[in-house]
Amino acid sequence: MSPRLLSLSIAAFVALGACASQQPLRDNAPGTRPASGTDEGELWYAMQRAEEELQRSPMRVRDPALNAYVKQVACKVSAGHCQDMRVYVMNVPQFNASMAPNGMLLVWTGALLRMRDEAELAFVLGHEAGHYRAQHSIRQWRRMKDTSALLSAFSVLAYGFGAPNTAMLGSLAAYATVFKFSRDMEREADHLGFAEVVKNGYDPKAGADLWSRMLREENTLKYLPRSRVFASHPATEERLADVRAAAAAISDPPHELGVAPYRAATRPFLENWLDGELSQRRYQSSLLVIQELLDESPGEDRGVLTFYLAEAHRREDGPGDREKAAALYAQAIAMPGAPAGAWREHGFALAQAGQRAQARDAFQQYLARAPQADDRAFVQRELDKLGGTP
Amino acid sequence: MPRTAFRGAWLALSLLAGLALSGCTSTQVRTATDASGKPEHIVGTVVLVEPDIELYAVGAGGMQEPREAWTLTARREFPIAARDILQAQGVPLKGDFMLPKDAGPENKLRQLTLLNQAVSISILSYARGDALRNKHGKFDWTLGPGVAALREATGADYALFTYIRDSYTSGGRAAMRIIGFLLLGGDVGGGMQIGLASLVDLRTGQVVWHNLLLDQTGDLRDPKGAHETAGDLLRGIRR
Repeated sequence: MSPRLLSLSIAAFVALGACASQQPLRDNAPGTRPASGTDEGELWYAMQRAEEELQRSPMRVRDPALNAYVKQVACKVSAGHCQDMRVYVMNVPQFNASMAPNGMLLVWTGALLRMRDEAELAFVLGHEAGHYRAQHSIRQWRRMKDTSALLSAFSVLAYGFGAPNTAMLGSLAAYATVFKFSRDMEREADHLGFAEVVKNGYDPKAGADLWSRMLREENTLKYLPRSRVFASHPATEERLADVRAAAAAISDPPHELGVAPYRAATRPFLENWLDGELSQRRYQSSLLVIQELLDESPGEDRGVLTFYLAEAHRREDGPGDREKAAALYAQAIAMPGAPAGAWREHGFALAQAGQRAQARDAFQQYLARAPQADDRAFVQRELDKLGGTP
Repeated sequence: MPRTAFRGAWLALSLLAGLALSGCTSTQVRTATDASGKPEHIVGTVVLVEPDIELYAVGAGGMQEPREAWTLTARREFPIAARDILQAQGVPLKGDFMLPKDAGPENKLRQLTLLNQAVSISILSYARGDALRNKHGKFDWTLGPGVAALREATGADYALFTYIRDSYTSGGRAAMRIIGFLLLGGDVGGGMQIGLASLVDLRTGQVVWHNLLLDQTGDLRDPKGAHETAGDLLRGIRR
């Protein structure tokens, strides 16, 4: 194609895009939905189909108490749109939350693991509710659909080929990509979310705390692709600066953090989410995430967190990791709430160091604490090798 | 990762579609054969499993936009047409099987429909000639004995699974095609119909008949078009 024709067709696309985005937005009052047959109505229809699939997904965390808690916080910061949003907790060990056009709000368990309190959760959910309130997805959809074929991805994700049998994680990733908002939209959602956080009496520093933690984690990802949240959101540093400035501008700020209710709701899932965290095999960032959790954890979680920190070292298996893991297992078993596995791994570390009697003792402790363990026969064999009696 | 595998399969399918299509209809019927090499004889009742159908419009940029009203029409018209065609061929039918809306991940019947999709995709990927050497050129696929659950639920001897994705060119896209012809000297593509159907023996799990339909002219939005599509999609099911 000659340059003139190329620029002509680009101009044509731009013109189409411009007229599409001038379509007026619907009055998005709470409880309303688009009329069927409109472009927004069709978008909602497609998302509703996707939501039906998602509702049946094995990756959904179905625990009623956890769902009720997250939903309740989402409602608080939704500016009256509680009945328009459905919250789904998805078992994906990465930091992300997303809002679909029709009010389907997804929160990944990796995000819940990384938060410390209700104020941080409120900040994230308020942001997602902000996308809904400001109708970002239909604005984005209109902007994209007449100008490019970018969104043929959409039919793969929600609607077209093979969606029902696509591995759910793939679909979730596609959600994150498709509803990749512009920086201005992200900023607008941040402002809307932040205002709700403050209005509801939460500490305005929550957003800054969360983002500075995420920035530290991002910096550990030397060779790995940046996580999706960083790909689709403004650079973490820029965002951190924004929320810090916003928090500093509040005179006489509220101080509610909601540590206790957040812990009560999420504590039962801690081990499960830590397993998921390690399953990603990015141990450098896991070491940071778990160490920071440990630094701020109350006494009863220290056994669990110390054990998983040891696990991260053991699996990373770099220079010195084995020794660090062994030392941490030894610490973990002396702490409240240590999982039974800590005794097993402590046993292996001792056996490796030639301390046979102590190793035998640790294995026996493990079997006593986890009599139904799947690997019972395996550990029994280790005991036999060490010359012990059952 | 499974996602990549599925993407790959569908990409291959769309490429295949692109090659096969020069404005015509194509079907790829595959039939299981018995020990003597003759097509498996189909004896018994058939249940039509709720078809998986979505229709959309192709926008000017080539993007596929969902169309609720069209889809609902097609979901109504296609099963009527499919039943007509099967009945005309003397196939005894059981009442249609609809999967409950709230069937979750633990639901065996839903698992079977998903398994059928996975097997269908494998058939498309690997059933060409000697793509899998251990098949020895035979069309030899099965959902396994777990299909008994569907037999119990429906009382049928065979289940017919169907899957259709259909898209229609909008005015904007039609204009783009003309511009494409004029400026680029080629076709940027318009609407297209992809259909998959498989007939599974619920006594054994064996896939006894399978078809892939690619069509640039099919239309599911009215009874006549639905009848044509169903006829193409169910070609050769009864011998």
